Amino acid sequence: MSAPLLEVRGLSRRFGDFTAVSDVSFRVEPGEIWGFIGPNGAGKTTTMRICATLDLPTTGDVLVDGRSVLAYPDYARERIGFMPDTLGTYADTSIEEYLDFFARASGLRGKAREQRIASVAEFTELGHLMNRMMDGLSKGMSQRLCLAKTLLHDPQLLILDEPASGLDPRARVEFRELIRALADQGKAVLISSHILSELSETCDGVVVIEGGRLIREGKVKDLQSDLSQHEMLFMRCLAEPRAVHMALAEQPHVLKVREEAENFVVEFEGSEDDIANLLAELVKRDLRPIEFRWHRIDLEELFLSFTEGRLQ
Amino acid sequence: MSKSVRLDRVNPVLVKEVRQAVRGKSFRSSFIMVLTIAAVVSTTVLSSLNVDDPQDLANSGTNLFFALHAVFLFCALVVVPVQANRSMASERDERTFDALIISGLSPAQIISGKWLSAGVTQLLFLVALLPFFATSATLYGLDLLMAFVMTLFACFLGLTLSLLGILAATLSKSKAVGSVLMMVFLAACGFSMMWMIAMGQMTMSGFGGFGNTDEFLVIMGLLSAASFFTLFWLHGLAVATISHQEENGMLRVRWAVLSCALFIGIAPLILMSTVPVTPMRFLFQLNSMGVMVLGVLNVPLLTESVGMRVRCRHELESGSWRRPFSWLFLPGGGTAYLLFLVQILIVAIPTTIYLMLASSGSGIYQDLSIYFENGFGGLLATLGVVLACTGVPAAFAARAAAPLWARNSLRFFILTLPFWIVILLGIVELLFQMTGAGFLDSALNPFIAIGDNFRSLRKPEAVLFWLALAGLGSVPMLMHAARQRAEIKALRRTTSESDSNVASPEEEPEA
Repeated sequence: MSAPLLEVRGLSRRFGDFTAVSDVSFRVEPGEIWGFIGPNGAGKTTTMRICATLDLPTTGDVLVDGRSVLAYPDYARERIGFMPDTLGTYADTSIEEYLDFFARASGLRGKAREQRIASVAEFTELGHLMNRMMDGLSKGMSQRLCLAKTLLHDPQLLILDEPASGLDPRARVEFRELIRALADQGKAVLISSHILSELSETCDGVVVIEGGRLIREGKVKDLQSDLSQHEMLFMRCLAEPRAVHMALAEQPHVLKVREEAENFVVEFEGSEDDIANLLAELVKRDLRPIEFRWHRIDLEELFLSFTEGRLQ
Repeated sequence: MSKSVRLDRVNPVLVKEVRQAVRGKSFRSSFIMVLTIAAVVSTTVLSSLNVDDPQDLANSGTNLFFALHAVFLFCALVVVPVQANRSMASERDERTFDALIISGLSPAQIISGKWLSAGVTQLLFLVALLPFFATSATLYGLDLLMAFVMTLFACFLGLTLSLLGILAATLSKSKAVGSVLMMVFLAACGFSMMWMIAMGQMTMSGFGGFGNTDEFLVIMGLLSAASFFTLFWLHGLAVATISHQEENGMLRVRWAVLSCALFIGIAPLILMSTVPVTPMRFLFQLNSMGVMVLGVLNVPLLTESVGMRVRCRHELESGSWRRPFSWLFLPGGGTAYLLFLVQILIVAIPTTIYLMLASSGSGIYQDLSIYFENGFGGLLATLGVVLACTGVPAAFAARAAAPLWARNSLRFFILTLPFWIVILLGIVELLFQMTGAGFLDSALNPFIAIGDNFRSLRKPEAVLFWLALAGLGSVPMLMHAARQRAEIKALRRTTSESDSNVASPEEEPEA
């Protein structure tokens, strides 16, 4: 089995008496997008900075493509693209010059550099803005430019710290598509965000961290099934509530029924076929269902159920 | 070939910095201001010239040059260093520093790029002032050699200050603290400069100082060389500051700042105490002291990194191991040792030139030749002291297996070496007195040998002693280099064996 692109092993970071990160471990495979979620001050940025070779752990290690970032920082930097939460700008510099500088810095020469810059500019849709100065860029454009810079040396692992913060809804959707496209190219992505709805639609796995400690980590599907042993069904019927309640309670696989306002919440244990059969039965009995929703636990609920809102 | 392709081999930071500097408002405004001041100064000096006064006319070129030189000094010693400081500080303030660190550029490239761009800016100022300087050359009384040496001195000092500015910015986490540090450095150097300028003016006016113009020029040349050496040290420190935390450590930075402050602050005091007595002696003391102090301060470079083995393995595994004699260029000894030797050569070459001039038998050089001929052993003695006192601890500190506390202790020992030498000498003197042998022979006492080197080392046995000490000091470094080479050879062998053990798909036996 090949080594994961990113493997964090027992990572801890202390600043004097303050423990920012404590014994955090997880791994990200190629082609996967992993969300890194936690409240403010949870230690997300510290962990990401250590992964990106910008800081050193007190204990533990981070392996990029099987090699320690402590022992081989240069090796790691070649493979990592780190996107900080804000784009640092250079005064009196155009977008093209900015990308040109970082392309030179990453060792790209001559035509190869020009082609690479054109390629990332096209991918991030910055091609028409290349002569524009950096000073007056919108947040969306800044994030695109930051991503373009991150992609210049064609890294296999992307570490993105709050890339969607400050973006308008349209820009968020576009940015999400870019990230998905990068994962489809086989790149591993570790992304932190406060906007959990964003991550839930993008991520294959999540790492939940709070107070510097790892709370949970794993594939989203696994965590969802871990958290909810039973399916939750929401429905509303126009028939008399008592009749509906009784009918639902009689059905196989139904464990519990409760009323919430005009809705019925049904705790259900069964397959998708069983759920379809339940709905068919409601129609057959003329209970007049007008709303039927199979509720799956999303990232937000996962996050809230795992964390306690502790701040460091 | 496009312009960007032509610039491929140039340091990217240099390209960026020059581009930014030239476009920046501060550079444009200061450039225009300098040109305006130069024009006003030239006009004022020329208009106040009394053509009927032969004395005034005879000094007109010198007067104009000095006035313009003051303008250039302002640019080289204030404007350019402050710009270099702000350029580095803005990397933190604008949050581009992290991107720079992980961009693929080495810390040395980053510092060099920043520093070289300060050099380019300085050059632009100099070029802009050249027409004015040319005007002063067309007048009477300007000694072109003196003008050249003084300009060179300003350039070297300006470059050193720029690097100090960069170092100050790397040491502080905020622009404000960086600016304060910069001001302290500038003030310290300004103090030195005021003294130098005062001495120069005294010399020019015939009130002693260095005795005569030629001596003043020699001093300026040597100080320029000293500034040049200081650059290596400052560069190493700035690189260390932005490198891996484990490698630099706050303790090291503190020692560096302390040493730097001591060097800048104490040097003028020492100079002031020595010059009025015997200018020639001061010259040689300065030379020796420069080599000693700067040699010692350069040693942190020798212990720059302990990651040799790790980085070697990486280079071997990534297939980037192609350079012949690469072991020499590895961190941990090779590079710095070469650099150190280069610096010694930089001292030796002007010394040789002066020796040749001395043998030509003209004017001041005739007097100089006496000292140089008598004192060549003194130079060797100085090298001996430096290598002997720094080689051994540096070699130990550079060992990959050395624990961090041991490395830091050794670095501290090296940086505070003069103090330990004094202690050691005190003990030795005490022992000599206790055994009734009297005081230590001055030729064997490193401080006296350095101080009086060109006088007291006429004894061949003393020269041999110091040469032996030099050899003794350099042996551990050479052994370290040899050990590095052996380790790398072993690593290469291991890597090639493991490569050959990995069967290629074509070679795999069929199931």
